[in-house]
Amino acid sequence: MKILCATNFEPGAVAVARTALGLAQQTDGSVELLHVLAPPSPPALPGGSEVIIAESVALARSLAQQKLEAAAQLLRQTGSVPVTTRLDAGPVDVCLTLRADEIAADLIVMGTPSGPRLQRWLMGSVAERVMRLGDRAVLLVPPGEPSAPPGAKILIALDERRDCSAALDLARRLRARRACDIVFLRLYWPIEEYRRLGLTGPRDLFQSDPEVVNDLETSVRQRVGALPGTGTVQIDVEACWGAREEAILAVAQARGSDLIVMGAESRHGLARLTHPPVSDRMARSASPVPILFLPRIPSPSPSPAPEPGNVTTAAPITAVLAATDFSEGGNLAARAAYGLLAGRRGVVELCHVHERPLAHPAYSYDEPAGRLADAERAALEARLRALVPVDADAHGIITHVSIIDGGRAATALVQAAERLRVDALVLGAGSHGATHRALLGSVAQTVVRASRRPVLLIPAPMPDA
Amino acid sequence: MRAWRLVLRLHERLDMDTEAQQTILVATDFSAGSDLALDRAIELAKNTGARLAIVHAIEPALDFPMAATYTEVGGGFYASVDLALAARAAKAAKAGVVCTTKILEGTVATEIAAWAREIGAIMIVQGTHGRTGLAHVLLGSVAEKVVRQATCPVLTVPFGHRAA
Repeated sequence: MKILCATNFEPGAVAVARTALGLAQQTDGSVELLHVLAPPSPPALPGGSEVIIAESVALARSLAQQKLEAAAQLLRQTGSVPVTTRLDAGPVDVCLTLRADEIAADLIVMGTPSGPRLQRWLMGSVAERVMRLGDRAVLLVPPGEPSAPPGAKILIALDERRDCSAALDLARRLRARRACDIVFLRLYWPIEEYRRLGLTGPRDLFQSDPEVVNDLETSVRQRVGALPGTGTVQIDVEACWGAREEAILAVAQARGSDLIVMGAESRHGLARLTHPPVSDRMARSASPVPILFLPRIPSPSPSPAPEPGNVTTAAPITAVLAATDFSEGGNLAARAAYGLLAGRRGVVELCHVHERPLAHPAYSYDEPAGRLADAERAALEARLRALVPVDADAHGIITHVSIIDGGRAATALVQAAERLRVDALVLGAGSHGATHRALLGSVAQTVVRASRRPVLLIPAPMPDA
Repeated sequence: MRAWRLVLRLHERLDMDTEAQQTILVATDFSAGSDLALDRAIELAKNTGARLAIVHAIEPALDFPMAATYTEVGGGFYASVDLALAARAAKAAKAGVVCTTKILEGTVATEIAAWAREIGAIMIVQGTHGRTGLAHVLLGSVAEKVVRQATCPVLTVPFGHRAA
């Protein structure tokens, strides 16, 4: 692993350099020590100041070069890792990014920002800017004596928007080399998850909700897959109302993690001001635990490049949510769901939404008024069961019927799909006229827009054809 | 009762007596989202023994400088679309699915729906970009227009939504 290590000769820089050296030793890599001289600010001197500036720059350069060599010598003594030095002048973030690109560094190691909190928050950190400028992994090391290179107990912070393939790839490589305990941390915002899953009734807004935890844990487990190697793997799902960076640090410290791994998220323009990425805020915090920021693995480009050799197809659809409003088109859709699963075993979640207004917000209050009576529910369930093809069981297709009581049909269906973790939704495309559709939008339209799962729409039967 | 028949054809597969080979149409705009839809279509085609028809629709620009047309702008444009389609067809073929490609010209949604009718596709598979808010109002959604015009089932595969 080629490591670019930034040093500013402050006391904390020793720990940074040693960590870089340790990592290079483990991966049979090399280290380049880089020091960046800040551009001199012109002093308010009368004529001849150019000469003075030139002299002071030359002096600063030679002093820095000496210090750099001394630091490199110290590192060379401790191990067999090739250590080179480099002196640049200019803005630190730009120099670091350019040099990392030049030598194709795999990792940039630098110190955790020190200094007063207000200054850190106002000035931002170099790490933050390096992440924004380039696409290299950045490791922030806090000052102090490092006992061993980090990586024995790592905490991987996942979030809902990014893919975690870079972090998983790192975890796999680490575990192939040494024992490594991994904790996957998934923080969630309760309101968002209650809405996504359509959870109703009074809920605790501060404690982790068992239903949400269960759902998110399953998601994380699916995303992580199998992690071969030695060491434990744990999944921690926690509700988080406040600053995520503080929650991540608190969990890392409570679990004694020696490294936090998270994705480097870049937002630009107004979005960066209104919703500063968690990774930026982490980079500004004076974390006592080293933090590794991983860049996003570039997504497949939209260019017409031929696909690589290995063919990966989507996972087969085995669980389908079929919804019907008992109209002709809706019932047709329910039958089509069985067609979709033909030839493979699977589950059809046959459901009907009994629309009625719910209390607002539904996760805080319980409103029993208008609720379906048991007899009504049973009658609706019987109507659903009547739609199941007689030979479904023989083809290994299991049917679960459910009546969703309350809410708008489109929202309730998307939420049910999330709760039941189906692979696809099947519903009728509706037969409303163009005006109705334009003004109100159909259930199908809303579901297609809101669902993050595939939706199969069955066109309404045309009586005239 | 064309729609009825199409759905019943989908349903009839429960009895596993497929007379002729059925076709699943995949519409692609070569984005990552439509590649995801292609993956889904390949999986469905493999499972049902259907063949794939991969199509790309080109909407002719109204104002080309100097009254040029796509053909004049260079066979290069068509060649590049063809190449991109061929790459996707190769992927399907590698997965063991029989596949054809086609370039359509005209209003995207209308052409896709019409072609699906013409080849008697049992299903249209397409990606959605997941645009919301203003972008959705301004740019609209080709997928939604296809849904409105199609007479066969349409499977929309979302892209760009958050993962849980």
